[in-house]
Amino acid sequence: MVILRRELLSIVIVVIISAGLAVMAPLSDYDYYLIGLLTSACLWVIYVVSWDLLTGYTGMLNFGQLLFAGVAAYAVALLEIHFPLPRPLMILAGLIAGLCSSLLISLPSLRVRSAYFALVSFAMLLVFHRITMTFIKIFGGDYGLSIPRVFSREVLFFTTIVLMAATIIIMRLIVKSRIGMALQSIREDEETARAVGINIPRYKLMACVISAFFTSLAGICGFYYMGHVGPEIFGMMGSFNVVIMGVIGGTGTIFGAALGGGVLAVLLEYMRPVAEYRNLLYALLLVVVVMVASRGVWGGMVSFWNKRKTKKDLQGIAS
Amino acid sequence: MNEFLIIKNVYKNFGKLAALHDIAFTVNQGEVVGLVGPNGAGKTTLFNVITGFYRASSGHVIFKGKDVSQLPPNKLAEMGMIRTFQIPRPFKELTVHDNVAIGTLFNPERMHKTHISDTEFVDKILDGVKLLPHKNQLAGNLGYGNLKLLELGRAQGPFPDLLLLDEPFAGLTVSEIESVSDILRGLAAGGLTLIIVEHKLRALMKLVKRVIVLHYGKKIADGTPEEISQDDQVLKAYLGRRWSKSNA
Repeated sequence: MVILRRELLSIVIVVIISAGLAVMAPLSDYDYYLIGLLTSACLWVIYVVSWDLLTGYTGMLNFGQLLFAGVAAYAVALLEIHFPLPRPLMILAGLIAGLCSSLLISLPSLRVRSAYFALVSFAMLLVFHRITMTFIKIFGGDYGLSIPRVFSREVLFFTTIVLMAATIIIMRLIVKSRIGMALQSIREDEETARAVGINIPRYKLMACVISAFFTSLAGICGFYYMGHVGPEIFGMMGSFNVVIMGVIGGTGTIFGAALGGGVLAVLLEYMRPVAEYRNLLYALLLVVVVMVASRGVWGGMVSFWNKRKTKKDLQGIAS
Repeated sequence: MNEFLIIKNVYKNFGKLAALHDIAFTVNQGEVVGLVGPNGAGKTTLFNVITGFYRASSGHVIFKGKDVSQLPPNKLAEMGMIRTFQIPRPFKELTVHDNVAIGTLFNPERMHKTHISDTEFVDKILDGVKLLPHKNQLAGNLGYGNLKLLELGRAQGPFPDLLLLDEPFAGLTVSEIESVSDILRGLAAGGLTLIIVEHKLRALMKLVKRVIVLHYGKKIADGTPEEISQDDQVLKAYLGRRWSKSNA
């Protein structure tokens, strides 16, 4: 596997960083505040990285990434409350529900351009928000659904970290493979992609399902961690946050998305004292990043590095 | 497999406008055919119908003995029919190498054998279109002339048997036209079948052995460049009376 060898360094780095995060739990003597913060940050990383596959690589602008997570979480919650099956089965059912929700937004928009996909993804989020608020008896309305704790915080913390590392590594391998090339060609020019033999609906669907797979698993992890899922998961803010984190971190690299998701999730938590200004600061940050480095922090770093390298090469030629 | 590509009574209507009217011709394997006609004659429409970007309103396109009139472009590409675009449409954010490599990745016969690191084949194509020095540049940073060359390179990625080239000379200088002509001659010598839409007749006539002329969506002539340049209908419809007096 050539791709595996080429990505070895980044895989090792991802594993080291994840292990570093994992040991912070015993180091902090299992401080629940820290564990909670890190778990939530890892979940955001998974959401943003999955979003990047759709938006950064395939060019399908998704304004409703958390739809997948929400549907999966609600499905697991409903089963936990009403039909307690063996837990792996319930998680599997939640995952399948999440994947089905991805078909809901991708199937109608496979043959249309990005803007329509963005609209459908956004509309579907609103639809599900409405559904959870309307059928109160089933979905609990504003209160959502809650269950008593079934997994310890520590278990979920480690699971989430493993899931995050797996997501980043697998996504990275996917985007460097044939599939990734197909996705990027679709982003660049659908007509040309068709002309060289790429089956566009198939690859768009594939991107959607892969993205939903990891987002759903993260949604289920988040549900078990909180013991709760509410309609806010279908709210605008959550899915917009994913977009903002992705854009600030840098799209189309996976690592940029991971960086944006992780750092901003932690930042968001520490901005809690200035809650009223949080969104304002966030928006300002977005504007500044878009103006200074339109390809996000990661993209900016990469192009800075390339420029420096070119400069050095030129100096080498001159001397 | 003598009858490589058969166009059978193809019509294409856009509303009430008949863009193509009863087009029929056959292209044999290894032939190099020019497709000419005044602006709006329907050349690009015919290209789009043949390559599956448009569906014919009626009539059939038969490629390698199979009716492909209803197939999407990607299926046709898999069968070995590849087109280029008049205005270059590169994958801008990908490198020149990857622009060509993508085509190689989606040919089922080569698929399992080829992967991204299989750069030798891509390098050969890039060398052929003189883009090897630009291999690692982003396609979006290429100049116009190089983008036209990249169209040719990208089209060779999927191992085509039939190439449809939409105005490969458009916007190029005389010397650039010369080098594109050389590339095309090389491809034809390698056994590729070429159909070339072009306005630059002088360059085209030197390249092809057969020319098909469209006018207002109808085929008005089909023959060698010499025959075509004597054809009364062609002279009247396309080249104009003045030209016919001085040259024919």
